[in-house]
Amino acid sequence: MANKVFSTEAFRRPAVTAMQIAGQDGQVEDKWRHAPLMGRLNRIYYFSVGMQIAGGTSEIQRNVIANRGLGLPR
Amino acid sequence: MDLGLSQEQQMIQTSARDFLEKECPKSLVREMEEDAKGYSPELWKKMADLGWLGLVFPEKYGGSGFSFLDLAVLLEEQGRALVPGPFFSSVVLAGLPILEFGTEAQKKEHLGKIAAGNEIVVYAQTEPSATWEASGVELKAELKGAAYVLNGTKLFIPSASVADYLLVVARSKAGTGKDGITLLLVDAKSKGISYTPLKTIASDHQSEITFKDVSVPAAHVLGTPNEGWKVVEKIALWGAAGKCAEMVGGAQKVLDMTVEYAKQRVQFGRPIGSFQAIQHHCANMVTDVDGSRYIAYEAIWRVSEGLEAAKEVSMAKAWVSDAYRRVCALGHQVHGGIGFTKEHDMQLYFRRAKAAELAFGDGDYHRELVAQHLGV
Repeated sequence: MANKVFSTEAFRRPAVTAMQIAGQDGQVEDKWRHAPLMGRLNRIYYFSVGMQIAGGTSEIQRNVIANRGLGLPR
Repeated sequence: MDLGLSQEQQMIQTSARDFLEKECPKSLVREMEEDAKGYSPELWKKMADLGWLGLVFPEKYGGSGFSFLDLAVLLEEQGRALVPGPFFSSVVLAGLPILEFGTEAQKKEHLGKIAAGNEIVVYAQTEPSATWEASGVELKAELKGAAYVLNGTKLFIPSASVADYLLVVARSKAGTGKDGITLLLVDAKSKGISYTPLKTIASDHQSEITFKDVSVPAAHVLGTPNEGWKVVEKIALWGAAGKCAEMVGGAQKVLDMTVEYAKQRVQFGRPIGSFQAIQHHCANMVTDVDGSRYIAYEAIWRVSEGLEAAKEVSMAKAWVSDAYRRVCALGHQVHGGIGFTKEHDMQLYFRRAKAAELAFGDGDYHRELVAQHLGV
């Protein structure tokens, strides 16, 4: 659980930063002219949002870490 | 201290919201993403009939003489409804500069037509270097007799393919600085202009525009030749401040949708809004939305009153750009899986937040400008 929270949030941060660095070029979609990294950057940016949700959101994971992992009362 | 809207502004807000809920549903927004033109001529006509396209022009040019602050209220509602099309380009980025810097003949020629919805003028500044600085303007304008000859490329220009006129920023003297910049009103169908569409994150129909020996009469210069950078700086203020208004409207809608969902969605036997993790997300969102509104409207008010506004606009653009992205990210978390589907409206806002962040400079760019104002 801690692993999922850590890795999806660790994925999100560089995705946002990479889009920031790409600036205006970053908005160009897949396979179109001027798209950085052949459009992969744009797709990673979309994907990074979904990662923190799919298979249990970060919030749910944190609940589990707190309740089951740390034994905190519900 | 009363920071609320005037009665007139409240009327603009209410009537715009009612009108757009009816005439600009999300089904139209989605349809226009794939549409060749990218806007609905019927909706455009109705917006012209309501007086929106001429809102800020004086009556003698076919407008209604409202202020930039009043226009911002309308832009906020457009940001909330995600109105597709060239309103921002034509009214904010072209209409206002023509009104402030144009000759009497230019104002007569263009403003009435823009207000009536019969002409679309699109502002074209950025180039493949993608910077908003003066060094980014490389498109050449050479004066030959009574005409300028344009050669070069413009990139990331929204709604360019439906333009009747382009307001082009060009370099008329060798160099890379602020000196030697000239703005020209160019017939969009001129010989030598070609458009390549780009597919971008907000589906806002951006184009790459190539100019090859395009001839433009010297009378079409907007402002003073070689001294156009001060026009560009003013357009950047209107553009960045106007984008802030749009973003505030979008962020408010994301907050509204999210709070509504948190109250309705039941998990573990109770509405998810009763969980503290969700409550804190919502609290962070409303803090960002309200904070954005106040910092944006202070900048907008200063621009509207003709006060020194460069620092405030940069502060607002930096803050609101990042805040809108944060609000969307939290909205996504609260919505969970449903918010990340194509069918849900969340993604429409998430994608436009990125484009609005980039328009007229992102957070980092404007933080740098704020630091310069502080003398750091």
